[in-house]
Amino acid sequence: MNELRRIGRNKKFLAFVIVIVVLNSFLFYKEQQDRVKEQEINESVWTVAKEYREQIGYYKDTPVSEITKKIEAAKSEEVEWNAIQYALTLVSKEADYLSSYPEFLEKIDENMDKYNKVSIFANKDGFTYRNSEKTVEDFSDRTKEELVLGNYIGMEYFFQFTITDYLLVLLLIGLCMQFVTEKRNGLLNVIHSTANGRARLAAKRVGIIAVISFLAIIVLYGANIVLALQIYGGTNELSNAIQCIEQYMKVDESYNIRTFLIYYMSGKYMGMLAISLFTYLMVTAISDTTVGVLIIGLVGAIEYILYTKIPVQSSFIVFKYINLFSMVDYENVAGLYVNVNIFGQPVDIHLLLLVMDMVGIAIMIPGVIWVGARKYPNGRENILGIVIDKITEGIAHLVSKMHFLGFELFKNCVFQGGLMITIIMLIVAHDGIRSSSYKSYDKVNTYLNHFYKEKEGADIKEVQRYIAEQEQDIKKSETELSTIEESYASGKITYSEYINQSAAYDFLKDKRDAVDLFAKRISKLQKYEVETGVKISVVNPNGYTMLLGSDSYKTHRAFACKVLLFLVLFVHLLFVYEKQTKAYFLVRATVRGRGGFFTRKVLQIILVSGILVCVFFGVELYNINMVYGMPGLDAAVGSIECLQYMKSDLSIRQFMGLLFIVRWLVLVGVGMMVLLLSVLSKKREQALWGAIVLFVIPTVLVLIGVKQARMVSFSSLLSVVELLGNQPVIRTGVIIPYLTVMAIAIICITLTKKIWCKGTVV
Amino acid sequence: MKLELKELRKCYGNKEALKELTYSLEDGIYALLGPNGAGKSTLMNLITDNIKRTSGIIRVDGQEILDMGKSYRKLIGYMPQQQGNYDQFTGKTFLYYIAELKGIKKREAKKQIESLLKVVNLEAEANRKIAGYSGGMKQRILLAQALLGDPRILILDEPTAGLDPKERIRLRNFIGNLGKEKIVIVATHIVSDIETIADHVLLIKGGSLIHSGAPEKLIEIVKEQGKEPIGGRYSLEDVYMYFLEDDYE
Repeated sequence: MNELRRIGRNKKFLAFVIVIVVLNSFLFYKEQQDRVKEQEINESVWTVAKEYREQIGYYKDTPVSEITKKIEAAKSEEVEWNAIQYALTLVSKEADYLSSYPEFLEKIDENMDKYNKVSIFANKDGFTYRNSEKTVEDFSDRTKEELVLGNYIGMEYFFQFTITDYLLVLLLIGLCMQFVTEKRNGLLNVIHSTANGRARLAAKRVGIIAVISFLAIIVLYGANIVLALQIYGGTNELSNAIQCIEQYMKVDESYNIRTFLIYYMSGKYMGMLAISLFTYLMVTAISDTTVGVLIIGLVGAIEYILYTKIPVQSSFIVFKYINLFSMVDYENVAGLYVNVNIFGQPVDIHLLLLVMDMVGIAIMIPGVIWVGARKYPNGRENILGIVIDKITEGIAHLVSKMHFLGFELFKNCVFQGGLMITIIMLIVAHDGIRSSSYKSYDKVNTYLNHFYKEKEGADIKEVQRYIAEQEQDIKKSETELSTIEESYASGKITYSEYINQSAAYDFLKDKRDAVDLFAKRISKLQKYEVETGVKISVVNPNGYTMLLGSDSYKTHRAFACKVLLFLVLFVHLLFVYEKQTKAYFLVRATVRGRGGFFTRKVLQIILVSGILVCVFFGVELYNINMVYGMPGLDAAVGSIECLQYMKSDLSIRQFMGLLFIVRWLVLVGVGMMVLLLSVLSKKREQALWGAIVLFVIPTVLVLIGVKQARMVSFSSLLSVVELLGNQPVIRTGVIIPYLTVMAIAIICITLTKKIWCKGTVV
Repeated sequence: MKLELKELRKCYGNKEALKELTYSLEDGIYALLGPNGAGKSTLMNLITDNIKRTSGIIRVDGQEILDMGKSYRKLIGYMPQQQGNYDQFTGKTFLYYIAELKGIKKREAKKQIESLLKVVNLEAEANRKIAGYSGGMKQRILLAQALLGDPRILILDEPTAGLDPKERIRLRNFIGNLGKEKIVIVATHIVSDIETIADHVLLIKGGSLIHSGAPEKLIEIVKEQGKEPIGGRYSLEDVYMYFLEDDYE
């Protein structure tokens, strides 16, 4: 109890827990609002949810196979896109899924028959045969009758919300760090020399981890469930089969949603307990907490790569799912049906994961208690300690050869947690990478993409000839269709003949719309070319519009939050670290400890800013390229309609290069401001929280839609395109904010240099 | 080389930490003796230009140190009182880091570091992290870094704190030899450490220089008062008690 009380009295940790709990619910609610905003519906999520409930109630007794047709008819009665239309879309999507479920079950039997006919798979002692046999057996109890239309959307969105997983991991890591406070404040020897300060204390801490993990899961996930059911309803549907939710189509067990929730939370608990125990073991077994945290980070990074990169078909799939991240991402793993080949036998991945969790926990609990009992506070006699010492010596030997900037980067990476921050940054960036190039287009856009592909890079005249050809084709088809209609009207052909013959011309309307739109765009390009004298090329604008168009600010605001947060994390310690370690007297008394030292810090900021922009901007470019491609990079920027306000002969490539430079400069400017905070602060927390309040929080507020925060946020400046809007580039509304940032940055550098080099730093 | 302090003053708000101290130092060992809070560290920080003086002048060979900039810091080696260092460095890496800060070339730094590790008796522990050092070892590595670059002015704030008797004697003898070619300023309140090596003693109390002089002369002054010596014979302890403590009997 004393140990729990000690942790409970730590106001910083309590505040941290409260922030996580509040943030969790806030972000969950915000995601529901964003879902509606993305649909461009001017209603609240409560209104949309109410409409959805009404539509579900209306269609509940309709046979699933008829629902979609009825909804199409109902949708066509609504003129504008609104909450009702959206609700109907959701119901239709659910009905489509429910009608496809019997087909899914049939396919399982079909696959079994298929394998029996192919000799290499028909080997009854082979894994493939056994796997398909097991699959048929596992799904034999599943019937299409158990799936009914219902209000599942609340639970669906609950399972899709993954941020809680990472908040929970953060909370549990924070808890484990509370157990090494005595190392940090030099009391480890004192505690270790008491009667109950070894094994017993370690055992109590394991108990605390177990209890707090459990409570955290109940509170965090429970809050989301309550919120989801409040907004969307669906409490009655909790008794329906879990397979009613599309994400869990492949669950082979007879769970209802309520039972599945218990199974799901239990799986989460086991996984999170294993992760917490692993973290605790690392920070206690390794004398150097920094090294312990680094090892956790490295293991996490390796696990993340294995989890995201190993394809499902790979023979190394075991490493994909027997993995720390599969414990975190349990909502996706729980919905999988995967059997792994263990000595030729198909073994359910969930069983393997459960066994791994239990074995891991069974090893780590006594492991942690043994370490608590046996490990000397300053001891390095164990193999791990010796290995780490050897590695440290090797690194130190290399570091000794470094130039001054190298030393400072080393300090930033190792002493100041920079390496850990880098790992997290790369994971966050990687998480933003789109894994699939697939994007669905409606028919009009499919035609448009085809036209652009045919005529990419061509000049206007050639394209206009092409458009004329397409219009001729359309006219010809329209004439043919008219002939068919006349034949039917005059009785020359029957109704079914008319339907059959006219079906070949179903494409006409979409193609006509596409040609008209294409012609309009080309006409605009031609007008631009004539007005500006800039030679333009035909380029598919889809990707560039996502990247640089007026709606791109949404992505850019998220980009701004991430880069600013990581910049603050890297930079805030650059000077305050010397103060907190009391090394500043020593450093400032040396030849290069003032001006030279200051210059290296500025260089670090320039380097870090460049890396951040490359990484996050790079992810954005990669995603756009994956989904849309980036054709015609050397075409003039005016070739993209959304950039025609530029009136410049800059190429698209050059424009994006400029964007990169501007973003880099803005980040460097902000970095200088954070550096000033660092030199003014006495403790790292002052520098960190000051920088977060000044630079990160306004950007987050802008991201969540607080308009007033735009005045004090760097969002628009980092977005660049948001500031440019659709106005001519050179205007004071654009130039002044950038000049202001640069001016403030120069003032900050000057002050920082003065304070560090000349003034009092105490 | 001559280091001049003229009417040096430092105030923290209303509190006068150092009151118009005037003194000249040349090659030799100068001991700053005084109780805790007397102003010894303040004086040291002023000499290393780590804090801004309220008023006064500090000159080296006639030139104000504020005008000398980097070239002044090339002359000094500083061992601070608080054990401010980078615990995650090994002892050797820490010395390389300081050598880099002092602008010493790599080859020369290697020679000096190997030699200094012998001097401070840390060769065996050079590749261990400073976080794992005992208090005395941390003191010794701090001393080693102060000696890097062969500074002309050595400022040592409580250099023997945390050392065992054998190490204290070694260090005392080592510092004693340095004074022939350098200005060595040693701040301490452990009089036995500087008794046999100090050429001059500055007695500081409440921010003021109470008295100064060669140890023998100061002891003579106390003898003339007719007080009984502490511990049977007159020493700097008696000087300390006589000049700096109000309750000396």
